[in-house]
Amino acid sequence: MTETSLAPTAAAIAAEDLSKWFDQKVAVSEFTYSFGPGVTGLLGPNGAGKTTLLRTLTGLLKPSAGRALVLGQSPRRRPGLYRQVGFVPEHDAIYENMTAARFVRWSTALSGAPRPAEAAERALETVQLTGDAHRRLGGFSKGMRRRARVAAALAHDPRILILDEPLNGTDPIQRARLIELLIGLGREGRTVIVSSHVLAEVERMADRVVAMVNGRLAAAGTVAAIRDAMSDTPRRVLIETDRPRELARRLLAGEWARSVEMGDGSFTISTDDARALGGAVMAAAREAGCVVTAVTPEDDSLESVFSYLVRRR
Amino acid sequence: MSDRAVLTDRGYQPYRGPRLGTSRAVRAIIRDGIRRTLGLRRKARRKVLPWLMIGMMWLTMFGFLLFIWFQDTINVNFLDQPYTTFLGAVALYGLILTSYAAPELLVPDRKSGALNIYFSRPLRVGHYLLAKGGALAAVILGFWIIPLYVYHLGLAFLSENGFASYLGSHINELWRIPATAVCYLLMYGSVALLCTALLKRVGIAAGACIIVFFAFNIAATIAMVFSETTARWLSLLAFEQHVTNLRNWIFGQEGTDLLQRVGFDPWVSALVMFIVVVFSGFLIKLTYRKQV
Repeated sequence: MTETSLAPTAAAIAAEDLSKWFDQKVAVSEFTYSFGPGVTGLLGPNGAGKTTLLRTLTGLLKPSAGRALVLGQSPRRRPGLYRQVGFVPEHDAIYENMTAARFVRWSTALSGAPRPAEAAERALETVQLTGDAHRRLGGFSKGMRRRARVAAALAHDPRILILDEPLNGTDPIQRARLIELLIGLGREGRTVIVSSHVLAEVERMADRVVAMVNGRLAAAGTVAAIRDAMSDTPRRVLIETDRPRELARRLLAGEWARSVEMGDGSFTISTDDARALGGAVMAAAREAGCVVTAVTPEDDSLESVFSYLVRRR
Repeated sequence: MSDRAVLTDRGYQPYRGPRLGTSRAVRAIIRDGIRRTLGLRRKARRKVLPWLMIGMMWLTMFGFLLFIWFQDTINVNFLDQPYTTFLGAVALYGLILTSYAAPELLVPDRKSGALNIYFSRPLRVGHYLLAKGGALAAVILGFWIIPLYVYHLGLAFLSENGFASYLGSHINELWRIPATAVCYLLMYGSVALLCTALLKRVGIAAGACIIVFFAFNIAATIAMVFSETTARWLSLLAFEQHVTNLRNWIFGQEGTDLLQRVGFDPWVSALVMFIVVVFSGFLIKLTYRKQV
């Protein structure tokens, strides 16, 4: 793949001060973000407003305030834009009596794709459902239904693909396949937005994450960048050494160490400046004559970052 | 051939070729709606009701032709109005089919969450409802018009004046048949769609539609015994009477007893039908606008 296909272009889908409320309940509040090519993981605990945001971005819900733009225009005013969008809603929206092939073909015809039968065949192949294409959806497992719905969203070759909790109910093999598929679609240069509350999966597939808490945008960017930006939350680093007490004492003398928790053959140090700590550990180990076997950041994972974000709100 | 390597993978290139318009999507919904209403490619129990009504319609039609052939052979004439009498005999089948078809077209989409599929496609609510109306029209008009034309040909075949002569002298039936079918579609279809917009289950909506047609009919007839003014008002809601009134008017016959007694001409029935069509159309659109 060349660089050009991955280079960020104008936002494919954007929210500008977007708010959506239902009577007294504010589901999305002043949300501003531009989604570009690649896979973006939309994270948030249950009830954070992810589904409402996606439904508003796709024009299925009217924003209470602000704007949702698809390719620079409002999808509610220009339904023709949906030819460039594939949407997989969270809940099973299928006709159980239809076969997978007919469902995808019908759905493709609705999207205005020329030669829907061929397009449907290709999409079913992409999600590896060709062998079951002529079985009724009613007899499909949850994961197979998901794949059929992804095929239906994909068949008309959309530039933007929005998937609300696509991995729910899928078994580990199907999940791995779907993740692989979404990564591939993102690498092709499509804008793929995947909402989930399963952090490990998002971490595997998303180039960047957008975290939502209580309907608001809590953070956006790569996991590392978000963690770096959280300057008020000290980082925890696990250090394994043959003389933990000695090394911990020396490190605590430095101004960047906040606290230390001792373990068996290791200790965890909290610091405001992880980079400075990295250099200091080696210097202190040399001075003390310790052997350092491992230096592991404990809270650089998406899970830790996300739990910090939720706590901060 | 050159030895130089060539990189041909240019990554994802969005499809820039022609995409089909909304009419294609509307056609796809109509086609699916017809299949769904008639239970095609669905389980056997889904086929029972629509095909029973269609079967009854055809059976009654052949029964009428047999009866007409029989009365011709014994030289009596019990059936001097073959079209309206036949239509009166099969109206219930049409009502049942329409009452079932309208909710079957709309309710499963709402219940299964499939509206998300429709409205994340290049379609507006109006297109969706238009397509569903188109599917209903295709099924109901087909239900009425095809057997009625076959009946017309059957009557021509049995006519003692000869086939061609009958067709020539009954040329007006060619427009009267579709006009009557449209009246049945609009009146039954509008009330059925109205019930569908307000109720959430196919069976309940279908039952409500049939009850609406019969309840006001019966109420107006009973009210006639006690108070003509009450009967007059109730007659406005006796939709079955209005569609019968229009049908009789189209075939150049007198209106129904009840509407004649309360003094309603066919134009009142036409106005009632118009109001029902507009009101149900408005309410359905409003219902769907709220959902999306």
